[in-house]
Amino acid sequence: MLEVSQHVASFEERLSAAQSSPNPAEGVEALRVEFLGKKSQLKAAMKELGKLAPEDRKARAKELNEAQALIQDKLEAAKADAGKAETAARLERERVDVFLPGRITRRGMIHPVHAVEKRSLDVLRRLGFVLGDGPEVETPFYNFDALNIPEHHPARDMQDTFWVDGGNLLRSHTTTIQARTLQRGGDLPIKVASAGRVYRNEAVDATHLAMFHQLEGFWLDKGITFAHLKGVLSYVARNMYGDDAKFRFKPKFYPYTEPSIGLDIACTNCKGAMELNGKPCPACHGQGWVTIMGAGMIHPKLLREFGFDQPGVRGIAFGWGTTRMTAQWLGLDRVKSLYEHDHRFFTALNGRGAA
Amino acid sequence: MKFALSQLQRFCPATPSDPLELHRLLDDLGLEVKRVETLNVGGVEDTVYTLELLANRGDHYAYSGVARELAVRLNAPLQTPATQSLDQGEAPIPLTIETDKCLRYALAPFAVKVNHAKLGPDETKLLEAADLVTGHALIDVTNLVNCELGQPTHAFDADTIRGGITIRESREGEEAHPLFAEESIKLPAGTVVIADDEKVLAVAGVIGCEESKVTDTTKRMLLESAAFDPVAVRLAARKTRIATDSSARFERGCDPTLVPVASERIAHVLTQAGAAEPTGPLAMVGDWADAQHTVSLDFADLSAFFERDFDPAEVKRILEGYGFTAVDDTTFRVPPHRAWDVVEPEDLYEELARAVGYNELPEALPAIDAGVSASHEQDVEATVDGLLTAHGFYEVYTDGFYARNVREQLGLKDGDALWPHVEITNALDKDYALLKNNTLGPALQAMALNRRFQSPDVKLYEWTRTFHPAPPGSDNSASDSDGAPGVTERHVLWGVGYGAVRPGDWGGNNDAVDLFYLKGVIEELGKALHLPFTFAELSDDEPLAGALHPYRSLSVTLDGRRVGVVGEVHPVTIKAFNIKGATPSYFELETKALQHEPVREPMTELRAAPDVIRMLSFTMPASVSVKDVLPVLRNAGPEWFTGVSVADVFEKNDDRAVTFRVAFAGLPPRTADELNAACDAMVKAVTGAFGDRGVKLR
Repeated sequence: MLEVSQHVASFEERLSAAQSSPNPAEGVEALRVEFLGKKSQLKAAMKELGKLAPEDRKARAKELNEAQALIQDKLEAAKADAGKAETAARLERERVDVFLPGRITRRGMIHPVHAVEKRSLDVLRRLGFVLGDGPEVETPFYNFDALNIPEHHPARDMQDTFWVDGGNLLRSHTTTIQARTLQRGGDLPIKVASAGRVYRNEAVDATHLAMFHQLEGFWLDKGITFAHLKGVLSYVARNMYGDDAKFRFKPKFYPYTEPSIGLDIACTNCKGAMELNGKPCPACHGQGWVTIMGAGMIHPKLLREFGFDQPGVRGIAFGWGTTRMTAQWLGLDRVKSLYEHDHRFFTALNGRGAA
Repeated sequence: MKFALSQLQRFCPATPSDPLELHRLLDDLGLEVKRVETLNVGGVEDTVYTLELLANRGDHYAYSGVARELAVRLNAPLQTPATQSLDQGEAPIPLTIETDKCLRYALAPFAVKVNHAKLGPDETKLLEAADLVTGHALIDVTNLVNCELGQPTHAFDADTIRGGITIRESREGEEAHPLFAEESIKLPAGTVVIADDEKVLAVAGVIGCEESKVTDTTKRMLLESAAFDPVAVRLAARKTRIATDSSARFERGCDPTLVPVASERIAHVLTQAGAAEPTGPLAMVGDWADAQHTVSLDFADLSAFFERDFDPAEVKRILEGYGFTAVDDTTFRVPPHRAWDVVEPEDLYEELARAVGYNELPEALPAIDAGVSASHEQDVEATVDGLLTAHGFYEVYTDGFYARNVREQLGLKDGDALWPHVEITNALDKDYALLKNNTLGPALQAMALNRRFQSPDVKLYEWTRTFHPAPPGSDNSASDSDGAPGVTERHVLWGVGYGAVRPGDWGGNNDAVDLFYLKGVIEELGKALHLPFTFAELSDDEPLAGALHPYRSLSVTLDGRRVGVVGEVHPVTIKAFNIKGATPSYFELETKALQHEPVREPMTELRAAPDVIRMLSFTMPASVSVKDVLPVLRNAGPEWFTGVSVADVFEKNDDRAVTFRVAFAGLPPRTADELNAACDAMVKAVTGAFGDRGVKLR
């Protein structure tokens, strides 16, 4: 006859060994089959109960049932422990160095000058300026004559020009688009913004470029005034540089505007103090102000040239060097870097953003 | 030009003494301060401003001009330097003008007493502040008067002059020996010169000559004071490559009324200094006469222009302060020193605005109805920028031109489509010789630079344009911009790259930027823009065919038209651009194609049950393209075949196997025999079509 207490003791000893084995779940399952399965000693002993005298049967049945329940409880607890241990082991096996870098294609970047250009055009769109475009190879008429820059005018030297086959030239400013737009005519108001490359026949060094970028806008309508010119320039400048930026206007000279006007911003580097660490601020050359825009009322000669010399019709025109603005924004002394295609330069800039 | 604060106060006593206040005032007047120095001038500390002057204001190139601006703004008096009156009369030698480029010419004889006499203290301080003291009174005085009045003068040693003086245009082959030059230069014919009977004494308005200069032994001086045509001086300075303070002043428009004034000022200064004395009358020749041009103001228009009323008395005060003369209440005569640039009423408006101060004038934003949306072109640009930068591309700007040798680097020959270029005729640099007619050259130059810096993985792109000589007589309608005659401009997007697709990825299995990667980029661009780009083998007339790998390149088409190209760069071209250790791949697309109207395909209906998938793997030599096999598989499929795609390509040495993923409709359910029979039929079709070229089921 099965000695129950010894049987349970044997089970507990075996269970303990199984739990310490390399694969506890497998050992526990084997014990379940051995101690609780159909062929287990307990099952066999239960089948023998009928053979016992009635007065002994009840006590024996109680003893066997209690042993079975105990074994079952211990096996379930052991199985749960084994499952947890197995999960823990699996997770340990799956451990990775979570501090390795993320894996994805790293973003590139649009050119910082392009970013400034987009930001500028976004501001001008809010004022209703539509985008205009024009050729880079131009005739002298659109680059000079139509813009009140006659032959031998000093401005033709100011913008040393690349001349190309056929008496054409590479545009030296984006104001050519104003001339072409005005020549096409159309109903008022005409509000056009344009941006692009311009060329100067200069020896290239760190700060002089043979090709760079400009942006231009003009607005022709009845009743446009000098006050509007200032208002538009202020609006654009505040939207580009923030409401806290300090501005001032000053007289300038451009052949295609009269009066001509310049917009200065208080140097963002020295905050207009002119000095940094006791030395002249390098960004504004110790002047406290930096010119960011050139502008003016469209010259009456242009209005006559293109048939807009009508009572009360006037125009404003303005522009800025987006290359220069970008360099200012980025604090770049060596503007040439923007045009050298050096991947290291752009990846270094990436994340800083120009606009 | 440099201006000392103390000297400005001599001309305009109301000039602020506070250096910063004056600095800001000068800026506000458009006399932009570029530099401020504190210098010891004549033993006293003085503030010296370097001003950047406006190109149209020749009168600002002098203390008198800057002081005039200050005096009008400050509503204060203006002081003029003392002069010694000179009688006008005959010149001591014959004096003739033979060109209309000389407006006025004056000659005054002086007897020199002390060559190195020191000028007066104020005059010396002015010259010291400008760093112009030579110690030679005859030279210093001409520099002085140039600074004071903006009137260039020149001192000749009278004993070096042979015969008379003639102002004329230079003759063919004529030479002159400019001051400070080591040797004579050949003058371009037509240059205005001052000459005696034997030689050129000066290039008019630009510089004097060595043979006639005053020296320490000069006993008799002939003083020239003249007014020349600005364009003539500008051309002379440019052609001789000599730029002087005098030429700068003349180029911006001189004041002929200053011709005698300058002579009389010099007479005064030299006499006061004991250096020299006039010995005869001032001889003046020339046809110049004040045109007495007038400009009328419409006060109503003036008020509307500035959105501010102007008091007529205020206008009169300002304009008279600037030298204008009131003809009546609304009409003003332009002074000679402004005759060059004051023509229109708006020119007078500018005078008034400057006097008031631009910052003091009203400011108002015009009424804005509504902003405008981005154009389709701008939307396309933003989409492309977003996609390319998300894939790790960096945008660059390459030059519009390159050197002639780029043609050879690209393997182009005379007669090739890309051989003709629009040429720059006055390039300062050999790298500016040709306007680019392709973007592969600049792209590979960028690749070469990045390899030199050993950047391991690079992806770049650019929006740009190329320039092409337009066929003679064409209307240039092929141009993407309304370009200049004879030139066609095409707008292009290009991209180039080498190295890993995902730079910095540590996980291995990092593909290289190659044809298939860039092809994928173009496919994604097509998807983003709803443009069904397709690909075709490079045609014989592909302009860039010679520079691309013949078996790793494709044309990109849209609506059956070639709109771009993609491929690996030809190894010979890579070598020609000196690109080491990298194999760049390149694409270009016409910008116009990207801006094409989107083609939106209808959405396909989703099937109720998943497709049944089978894999068919074939041994396929590289000479047999999936482009040819795919339609055969499609045609051989049963009605319930739903699609086929490339699942895997295995290549080792010369062996290649391609596995196709074949899909069949999941409903109604098919038996294994039906599926096997369908696959068998497709395999049979492929091996039947390509078996003789080595294709077999793997």
